[in-house]
Parts: sequence; structure tokens; C-alpha cells
Amino acid sequence: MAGRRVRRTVRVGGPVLALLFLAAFPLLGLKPYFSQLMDMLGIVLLLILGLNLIFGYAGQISIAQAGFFGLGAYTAALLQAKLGWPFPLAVLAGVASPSLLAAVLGTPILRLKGYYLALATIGLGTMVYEALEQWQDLTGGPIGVMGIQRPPALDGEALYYYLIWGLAVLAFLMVRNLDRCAVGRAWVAIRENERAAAAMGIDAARYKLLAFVLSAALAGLAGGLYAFLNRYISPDSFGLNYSMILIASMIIGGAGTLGGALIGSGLLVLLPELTQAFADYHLLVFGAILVLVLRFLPRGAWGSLRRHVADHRAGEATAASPTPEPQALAGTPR
Amino acid sequence: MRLHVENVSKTFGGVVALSAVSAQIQPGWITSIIGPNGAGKTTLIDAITGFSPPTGGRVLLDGRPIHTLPPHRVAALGISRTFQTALLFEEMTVLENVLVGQHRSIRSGFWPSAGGLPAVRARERRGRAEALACLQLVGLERLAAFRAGSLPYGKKRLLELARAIASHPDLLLLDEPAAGLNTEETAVLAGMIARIKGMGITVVLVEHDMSLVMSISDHILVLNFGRRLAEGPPHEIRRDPRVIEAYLGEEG
Repeated sequence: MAGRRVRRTVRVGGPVLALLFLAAFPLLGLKPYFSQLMDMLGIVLLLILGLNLIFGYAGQISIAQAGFFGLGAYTAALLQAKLGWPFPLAVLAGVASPSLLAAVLGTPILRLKGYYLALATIGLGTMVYEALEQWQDLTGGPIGVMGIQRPPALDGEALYYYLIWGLAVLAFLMVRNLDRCAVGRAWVAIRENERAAAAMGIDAARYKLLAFVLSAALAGLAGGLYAFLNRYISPDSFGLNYSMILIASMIIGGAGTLGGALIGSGLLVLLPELTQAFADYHLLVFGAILVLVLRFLPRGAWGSLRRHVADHRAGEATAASPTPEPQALAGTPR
Repeated sequence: MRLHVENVSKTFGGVVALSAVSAQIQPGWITSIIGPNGAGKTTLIDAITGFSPPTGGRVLLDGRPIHTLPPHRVAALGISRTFQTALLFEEMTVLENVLVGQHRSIRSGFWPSAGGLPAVRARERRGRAEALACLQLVGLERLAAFRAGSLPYGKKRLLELARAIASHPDLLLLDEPAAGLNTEETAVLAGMIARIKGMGITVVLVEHDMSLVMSISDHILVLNFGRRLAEGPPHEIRRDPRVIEAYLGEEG
């Protein structure tokens, strides 16, 4: 039973330590380089949490996440830089515009499955990217949008850090709550077997759309925060490449798990920094990790660990039970 | 709860799978559908549950047409089913599979769920207790924490049954529940189906195991080449020359 005590300590102590670290981080007086990394980590976490809902939990391939990210960033940036909208409204509009796009296009797109769905979402992401790059009068084209201004109250790096991480923690808690109730189970049921889910009264189309809109909303929020963090954005950051890197990070961490979202975000932000010696080849390292993980931990780092622990505990629980198995119910192994 | 199948036909391209089949499902009875392979038994279940809508005829539930509804809407009306090969949510635990069965009774609105409100958690706890009771019914309660995919085949079938019961159906359609079970397991299954009937649930059973069908059915519908061949209580069906011919013809 020592294992149980360890597990409880980890379950309670882990989040407490993580929150303490997040709260204390700006007080450590580290170089701006590190606080920038932490800001990006919060933003990437929002992106991967969102992707996880539609792709990880509901099992519907979406390669549009960077497109939603870009749409959110440009909406917030243009409204602020060109029309002078206040920061909160600009960011809210950045959440709303990709959500709306997902809500309108989600119903027809999510009828598709597998490769067809993958292609349709690539199309959606590319559509956004091309609009950002080609619609020069509005977006500034390849040059991007400059002169995005934060309100004076949020100008301090520490305050903006707390805003990003406050929202990231809220999003994390939201996904955790959904994971632990009927909504999360409905998503996983659709992923595991859509016919059986329908036979249980689950409206698959509705739940897929909900996951898709939520994933777009979180990407839009990440986009708005990113625009005001950088104060400058250009289409390069929101291409098909970035959608693929987000997917790879999510899978390496463990699709459909919260721990996996954390690991994946950490990897995506830190790996380019740790492999600076390889310069532009850091994607090569990334690819190698992806291949190794898919070969040896097909459910990702966290997913495989969790499955191992769950199977172990199930065995423990059965061994601890004193009643012998009724013979008549012993199944025929196939 | 009165189900009426009215002149239901189903064609796949040029192939006629069902041709003007009519049947009344008596509430509270176990009605079995039997017939040689390809007789249209599963097609009929798919037509009733919305998985494959009929190309002709109607399915009425208490006089209301349901054959145009999608599967999840049919399920919402209290019609649950199992599949010919157990379709489980393999990566979920045994308990979670049953909880999905209870989806309609334990789900909460989106915002309370996202906020993790106490009312949502209380509903989850009640759901877990009820799910364990359903597992007890089929003798799987000790395996609640196992991954469904790790169960042996016989237990998968029992889990699928528990999941269907958890959805509180008025009508339960079982598609070959004894397929792949050994004699002992089939005997346990027979007891369970009788208990399900005792809970006031109307059962429709598609099955090849004749001793199972004859021992628990109140009424039997025999299909052959997509048409109704015969209908009646087990003792009549057993002696019906047309039925005997259809089965002997298949084996001969």
C-alpha cells in the first residue's frame, strides 16, 4: 500500500508545487530570456490543450490549429493597432473570430473522417494563412503587423506573465473538469467507437463541433496573447508547419491526456533552445524524437505511463479482493 | 412502449435484404428473431435502431414513426442495442464503459461541467455507484478498473450487456449475444436475459443458438431471404414444417 501513499503525495503535491513555482517565477529575478520562454510556454500550452480536445480526446484529426492561432492573433492585433480597441476587447475578439469560423465550417467538415478530415482541415488552415499573407491592404501581407500596444497597466513583464499563466491555468482546469465528467467521456467514446457511442444516445456531431469550437477558442486566446506579447506578428508563425509541430508535440507528450499536453508544450518551447547548436536542424531532432516515441511509446510519454500504472493498479485491486472468480463467468480467451 | 414494424424493406443496391417485413413487439416479452444466415435479422435491428434506415415501410414507437431518426435519437427514446461483435470503448476502463451507457442520465450542461461544479461531481458519484450495480448484475464488478480492451471475449460481451442496461432502456435489442460463448457462459447469459425481462425491459433477441432461443423466448419471428417465414410461440415454431425445411435446406 506504500504505492498508494506515493500516488496520493504526487497527486496533491505535484499541482501545489507547480502553482508555487508559477507564482514565484517572476520573483526569481532571472534574465528576460527565461521569462520570455515561460510566456511562450503558457501560450503553447493553450494551443496544445485546445488541439487535445478535438484531436486527442474526440479523435478527430485537425491540422487547422495554427490557422486558428493566426486568425486570433491578427484579429486582436489589427483591432488594436489600426482601430485602437482596448486590450481586453481586442483579445476577446481574437477568441471570437476563430470560434465563429470553427462553428460555421465545423458542421460540414466534421462529417468527414480520417484522411478526408485531415485534408479538409489542412485546407482550412491554409485558407487562413493565405488570407493573412495575400490580403495586404488589411493584414500588411508578409511584412506583418507592427505597433501593437499593450495598455500601460500590463506593460510590466511580470504582470503580463501572470495574465498569460492565469489564463493557461484556467484553461487547464477547464479541460481537466471536462475530462472528468460525461462530456469528456462522450468525446473519448466517439474516438473509440462512434457507432457504439451513438447507440448510447451520444450525438457525435454535436460533441465534435463543441470540441472543434473550443479548440479554436483556445487557439484564438493564445493568438491574442501572442500578438500583445511580441508586439509584432507576421504570417510565418501561423503556417501549416506550425500545425504539424503542435500535433507532433501533442502526440509525443500523449494525446488525450493532460500530462501529455504539459510535456508536449515543454518540449516544443524548450527543444529549439536546447538544440541551438544544431541551428536550423532542430526540427530534425524533433522528428527523431517523434519517430522514437511512436515506435516505443505509441501512446506518448504520459499516455503510455498512465496506461501502465492503470493496468498495474487494476491488477492490484483484483489481487486484493478475497472473493474467487465465479467459474461460470470466466471468459474464453481469444 | 409498443414497437410496430410495418412493411419494412431494405435494399442495398440491387440486393433485397428485407422485403415488407411486419411485426409487433409485445411489451415485456422476449421476442426472438431467427433465420438462416443472410435472412435479414441484423438488417432488421439496424433498421429499427436507425443505423441503417429502411428503404420502405415504417417503424412506429407508440404510433410515432422513428425510422427516419438518427441512432442517437432512437437511443434517447429508450431503445438500446448491442452489436454482433462486441463494440466497446477499448481504451476506457470497464467502469467508464458503463458510465458512457448512462450518458443521458448523468450528463450536465457544458458550463457547469467545465466549471467542475459540485452538482456535476455529485451526479458523477451517483453515476459511479449505479455503474457498479450494473457491473454486479453481470458479475464484472471486480474488473471495474481494468481496461475494457484487456478483457477476454466472453467478458466483453457481458460488459456490452451491462453498458446497454445502464442506459435504462424500455426495449433492448441483442444481436447474437451468445456468439463466441461456451456452453457455461451461454447458460449464464440465458439467466441474465431472463433477469433483464424481470426488470420490465422488452427484449428482442437475434440468435443462432436454438436451445437458448427455445428456452427463453415468449415469441419467435422467423425470417428467410428477407421475408417473414413464420411467427409464433416456441412450441409452434419448433414443429413448423416451413421452418424445419428452411434450416434443413441450409444444412443439406
